[in-house]
Amino acid sequence: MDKKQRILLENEILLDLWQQSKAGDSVAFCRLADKLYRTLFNYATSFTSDKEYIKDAIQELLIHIWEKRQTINIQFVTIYFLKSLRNQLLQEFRRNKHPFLGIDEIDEITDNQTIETEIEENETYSESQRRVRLAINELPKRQKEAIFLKFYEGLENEQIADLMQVNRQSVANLLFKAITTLKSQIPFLSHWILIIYTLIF
Amino acid sequence: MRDYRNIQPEELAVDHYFRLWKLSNDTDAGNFWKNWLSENPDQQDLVDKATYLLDTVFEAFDGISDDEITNEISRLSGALEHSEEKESPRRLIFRPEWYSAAASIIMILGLGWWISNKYSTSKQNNLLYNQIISQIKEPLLKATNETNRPKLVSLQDGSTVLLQPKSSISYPQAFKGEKREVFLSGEAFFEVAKNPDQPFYVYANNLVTKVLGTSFIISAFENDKDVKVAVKTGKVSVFALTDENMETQQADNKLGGMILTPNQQIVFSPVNLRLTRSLIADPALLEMPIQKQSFDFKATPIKDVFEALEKSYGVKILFDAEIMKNCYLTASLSDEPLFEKVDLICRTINARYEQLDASIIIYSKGCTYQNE
Repeated sequence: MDKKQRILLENEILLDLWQQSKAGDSVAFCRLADKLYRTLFNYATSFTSDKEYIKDAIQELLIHIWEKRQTINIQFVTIYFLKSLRNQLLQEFRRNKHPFLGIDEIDEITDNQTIETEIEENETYSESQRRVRLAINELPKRQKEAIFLKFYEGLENEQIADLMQVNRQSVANLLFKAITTLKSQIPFLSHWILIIYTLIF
Repeated sequence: MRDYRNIQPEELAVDHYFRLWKLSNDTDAGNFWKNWLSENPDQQDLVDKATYLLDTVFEAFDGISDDEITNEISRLSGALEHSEEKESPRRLIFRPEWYSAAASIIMILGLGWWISNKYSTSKQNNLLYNQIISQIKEPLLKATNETNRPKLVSLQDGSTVLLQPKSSISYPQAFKGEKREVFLSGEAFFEVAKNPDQPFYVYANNLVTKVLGTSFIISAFENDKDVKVAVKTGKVSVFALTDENMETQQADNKLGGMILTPNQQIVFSPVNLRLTRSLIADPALLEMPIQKQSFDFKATPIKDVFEALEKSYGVKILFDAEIMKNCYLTASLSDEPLFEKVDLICRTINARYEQLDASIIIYSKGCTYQNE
């Protein structure tokens, strides 16, 4: 099965749940939400590190989509939800409903305290993983978002461009910058860290 | 197939076939990559780096636990139901304190345990119950106990359910999905076959009980006010599927999330969304014989063993008492499903069994002294 078929198949399953939801089956909608939740939540961490804020935002989004389900036509489910979440978050940032940095002030580092707390919680992670996590979390937000869409979601640059509402070249630039930063901060391409890595696993 | 020899780790990390192997554990993809690596041993470094990049990204973005997600979905389910009941749907805003407390209720998983819960059933709850049933694609079988004695229902996975009078249970013929899901109305004693990969869920109105193994009681009759969950052994995971009066109860958000350990019970009051934990003060809670029954046998004559099982499970066990008069059993059985118990017993005494309707027939050639 080639890539396209596989992605279509996955989308097919989600679309099936969406069609049931559209017909008024709220349990199917909850199942759909369950399948998408982790991706949505983790995507939103590119914008803010306030977990409870994210949960509320996703909750609000899902209820909104449910209420408007009759008028919504979806082709690619995951992308639709990611895009809706993005729009909602950005709208709220603009309205300043949340004391967080707007997308235009992206170069600010997110809430360091949260990052450190999270890291402390996960003492089982190796030192190198800890640094990597920190390095990714300290990327400028748009780079972080691009990294998420590219490596976590596995989207094409074109899809990322569409989602982030920039052109493809900008996506390539963002990714290039992010990867360069990561390579320099976490030398995952250098020899010694790979030796450590091999020892761990 | 693409030429993988001349690409960068970050390109490999986004290759779909590579991700199938690393992220979806796809067997075909796994075989392909293992082959490819043995043909291209010099590319191990490339694969390591790409793997490291993927692991790293997933690790860095991993910000939410399974239990938190479950909790958010049950919160959503409650809100959707709420919004449907209203003429003009209004969005519900919940207080963070409330759901962080609720989240911790979900974390509990069990080995050997039983639970008992009682609460009122409103029309909305029935609605939701029906909705959940409708989500199951496989046709559901329904067993109802209209007698005044317990009735044994065996499930395809080997689990058994001792259905109490005036109770009914719906279950699929075969458990095909990621979860084993059954729907209870009334009271039943469950002995769940262990399968950590396919957790067992019991939906009883607005309460969900999650099990990894093995035995517990749920009672969910319509006329009782409070839900009670009591643990005999092990730990349990119980959470509300939806909560009524959510909006009016916002101010009162002390849902004390907690882990239940043996001899503790939790009382859930759907009316004010309160969960209170206490020791099991009232031994009368242990109403069903099987709850008090221990299956510790020490050189016990086999007919007493079978009698104990008959009494506990309400099944008929047919055996030739004369032939088996020299059979004794020394065994400590606990919360295995009934048929597993019978199977263990049969192995011990060198017999075999058959299940026929509600009866179990034991075939034995008798025991010699070596068999004890």
